[in-house]
Amino acid sequence: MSSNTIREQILQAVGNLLATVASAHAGHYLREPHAPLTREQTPALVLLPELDAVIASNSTERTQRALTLRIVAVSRQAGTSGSAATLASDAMLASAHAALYSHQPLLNLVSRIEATDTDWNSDAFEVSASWQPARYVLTYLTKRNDIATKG
Amino acid sequence: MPAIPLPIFAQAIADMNTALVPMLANVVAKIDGVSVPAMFANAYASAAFDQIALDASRPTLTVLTANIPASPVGLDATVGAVDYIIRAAEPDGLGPAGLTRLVLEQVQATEPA
Repeated sequence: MSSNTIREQILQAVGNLLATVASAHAGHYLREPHAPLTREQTPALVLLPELDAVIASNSTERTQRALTLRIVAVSRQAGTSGSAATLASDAMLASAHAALYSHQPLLNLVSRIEATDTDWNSDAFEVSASWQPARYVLTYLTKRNDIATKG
Repeated sequence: MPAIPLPIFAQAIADMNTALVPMLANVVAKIDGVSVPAMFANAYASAAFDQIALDASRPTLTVLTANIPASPVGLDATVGAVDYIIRAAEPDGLGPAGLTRLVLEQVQATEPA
């Protein structure tokens, strides 16, 4: 039986914790959505995998990898010209950040979690909308010849 | 000093706007408590940041500039049962005889018409 790669297992662990965090904020979790988010799907935490790179392979048996992903908090709020939407996104990101560093299934898979940058985006529709992406780099080890097995 | 009459073309534009807006209006909006005939639009809009897009709409009211206060931004506007605030005013540059498009934002989230 084949198993998923460690990077996919990491993404699923992150997805699980984001689903819990989003639910606590009366929101939804989505991974790589292909269609525009409906009103019913926001607020939302969105997971966007970005890059998986080998960063060290100096062992004959193990390879160190860095998985870069973005967590995007999306909120809409009426009648506030953006400020409440921004605050709502920020609160979701704060919860997601704390959960990343305390979610044991994830910590079992990775050796390091590093927050690298955050951005702010907003637009005005019938209500104001806010997108706040936060980028993380998660370092982990695999067998050199088997990316589905921890190194 | 007597008022200077508008040049012929400007007067024609003013006359046309005055005649057309009540005919083309699809709502009577309340702007700062005053009833004003207006052309309301609430078309689908979508904006995307990276890979994430949102379903949304952009409600606007187009009104005779002469029918609204000189500084409408921040005032209340009601269309049907939905309350908005005026987030931006976009006059066409023809002065009181012209038209102004008011960009609206809902006070409470509801499904757009």
